[in-house]
Formats: sequence, structure tokens, C-alpha cells
Amino acid sequence: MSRLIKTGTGTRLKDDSWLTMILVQSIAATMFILICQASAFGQMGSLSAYSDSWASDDGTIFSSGVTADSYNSYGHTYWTVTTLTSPSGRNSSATSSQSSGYGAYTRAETSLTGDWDNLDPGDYQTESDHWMCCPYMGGNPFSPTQPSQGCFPSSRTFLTVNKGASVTCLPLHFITLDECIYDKMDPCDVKCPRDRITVARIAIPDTRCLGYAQEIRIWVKDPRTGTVICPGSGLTRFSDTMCFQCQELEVVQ
Amino acid sequence: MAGSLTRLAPGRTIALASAPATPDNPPGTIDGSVTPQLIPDSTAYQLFFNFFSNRTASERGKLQAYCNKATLASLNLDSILAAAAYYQQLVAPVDAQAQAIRDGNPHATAQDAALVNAQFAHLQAQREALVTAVIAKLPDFVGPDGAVAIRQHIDGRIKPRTKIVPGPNMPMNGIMP
Repeated sequence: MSRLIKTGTGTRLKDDSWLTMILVQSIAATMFILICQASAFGQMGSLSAYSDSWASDDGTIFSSGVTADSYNSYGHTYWTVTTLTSPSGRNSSATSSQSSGYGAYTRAETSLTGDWDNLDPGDYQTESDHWMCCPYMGGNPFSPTQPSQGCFPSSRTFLTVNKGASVTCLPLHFITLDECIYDKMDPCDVKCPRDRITVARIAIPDTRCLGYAQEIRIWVKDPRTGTVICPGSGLTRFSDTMCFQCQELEVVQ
Repeated sequence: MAGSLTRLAPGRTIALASAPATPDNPPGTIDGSVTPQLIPDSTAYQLFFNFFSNRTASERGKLQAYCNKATLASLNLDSILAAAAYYQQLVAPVDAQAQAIRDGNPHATAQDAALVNAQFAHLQAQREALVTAVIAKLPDFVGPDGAVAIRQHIDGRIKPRTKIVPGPNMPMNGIMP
């Protein structure tokens, strides 16, 4: 940047580009300091929180809560507390061990066992608290009381699965020399029906085919997607007492 | 949980004082149930591999039930466990290097942390590359169809149930800003 200026001795060309340079350098230096400050005092990494819940064929509900930090460069200490609560209020809780490694990973898993005679259908709630201790905030993971300074539950995750059961009524359809064959009654509008049950007569007392089979299959539904997952197997009971219909054992919200 | 005793590790318990309300989604959280596409593959796959890692034989039934109720039903559980073990084997040296860096700076202050962190940058890149390598090798463990099933599991189940929560802000001179 140049301009003409008049002086007592005449007119000369003044080059003040050095001023511009200094100005630009000052701005750049300021920006650099600001960026460094932002970096030095910025956010310390991030954690991953994961929760899941699933059922086994016998109706046991499992819950898992995970707190992980695959790039734990700040040396944070993590742990997870997971609680599973049934519709009737039964609950079970687990606390993971602590992890502060670079690939920190903690997992707390708990379960509520199934009972064929007390299915406890409805919503099973999983709640996980994802704890962390930050050494730069004075966090002491060994403190006997938590939360404490620098140690706190940084996030909470919730998950709900809906548990129910399909009861299929299968009258005895026909008998062979070796087997009793039961077929699902019609209509049988349940989520997880069983079409046919074949039993070896040798496995039955007196090898006598009883009149009815009833199969209970416990399913779980993801309320978010509405997807029902049927089990691979269920509990089958045989009786001469007539079953009249298929039934759905569920709590409809 | 207020005032209750919780088992933390064998032989040690902590008392949980009345905890402040835990934020479900602190500011800046990426909630996979809302935006699963923002959960990186590497994060989701690492959660998957870790989920199947360090399990005892008594946990097989529980894990098999997990697979049966997901897109993993057709996969052999042992092949998933083998892939998870392979992942652990690959990342262990990187984690050991990181621990050595941390051990070399035992009294790092908040101000030092950012400088020490620069040393971790290449380890993070290295770890990311290893995760990518394990994902690419999955068909060797579970077959091509199995790898597709795991991909579906990652997208359909892991990511929607994952949150990425930002860490706390670095304290200034030991005092939280």
C-alpha cells in the first residue's frame, strides 16, 4: 500500500506496507493464542454409552450397560451402573469394575430370571448410569463416597423392552404307532404361535397320547420399532383338560 | 441409589451419596436413537467387539440368546468370539504404548495435558486403522454372509442404542471454567 505525502522538502512516496504486515501478524498471533487456549482448555475427549436388553427362551431378561472411551488420553476413570426393573417392581442391579486404560471399557450386566408360572409381562426398564472421574478436576475414583469432586455420572441411558407370551392350544390331531401329533387350533391369532408339536410316544408315560398340548412361547418387543422377536423354543405342557383357545399374555399400554 | 451401597469391585464398595440429577443427554451428545448415522463405524464396531470380549464360559448362554434375538442368529458364537479376541490382540500394543506415555507424565497438569495429548494423536490414528483392518478381516472369521449380518447388527441395533457424550471441559488452572 503506497501513497503520496507532502513534506517540507517536497513530495515523496511513502510505503507503509510494513504497517499492514504488522497488523496481519498481530491478528494471526492473537488467533493462534486463542486457538491454543481453546484447545488447552477445551473438551476432554468423549465417551460412548451403550445399553441393550434381550431375553432368553426361558423368559430371563438380560440388560447390559456399557461405558467406553477408546481414546482415553486424559486418563479418565469410567464405570457403569445398570439396573433392570420388571413391571411388577422386581429389580436387579450391577456395577462394573472401573477402567482407566487408553481403550477404557466397562460393562455392567444384570438379569431377572423368568418364571413360567409367573411371567411378569409388560415393560422391563433398563437404566444405566455412565460414571466418570476426571483427574484434572480432582476426581478420585477410590473415594468411598460417590459422586465426589471430579467424579460424576456423565450420562444416563434408558431402554425398555416389552415382554409377553403366546400360548398356543394344540389339540391332538392324529396318532401313529410311534408319535402323538398335535396341530394348532384354528383360529389362533397370537404373536408367536406353534403350528405343530410331534412327541415320541416312548417319551410319554404309558405311551398314551393326551388330548391337548399347550405351548408357551415368551417373546420380547422393542417398543421403539414394534418388532416382536419370537423365541426358538418354549415350554410345552400336555393334558387331557381341554384348552379352548390360543391366548396372548401381554400388557397393552 | 441415594445412600445405598453398591458393589464396585470384588472386596470394595462405595457409598453413593445423593447424586445430582444425571443428564440424559448433556449438551453436545450424539444420540444414536435419533441420529444413528452420526455414530461412527469405528465406535460401533469397537462396542461390538468389546461386548464379546473377556467373557467366561458361563456366559455363553447369555451371549447365544443375544445373538438369537438379533440378526446374528445364523452366526456361530465361537467365530464371533474369535473375531473379538483378534481385535483385542491387535489393539493391545497400542494401548500399552498409550499407557507408557501416561506413565511417563504422571504429574501432568491441566496445562500439560494438551501437550501430552499430542503424543496420543498418532496412537488414535493407529487404533482407528486397526479397527478398520479387523472389520475388513471379519469375513475370514464369520464368512461373507456373517460379516453382512454383523454390519446389519451394527446399523440396526448397536448404533441406535449408542450415545456419544462429550467429556468435561478442561479446567483452567485447576478450576472448572
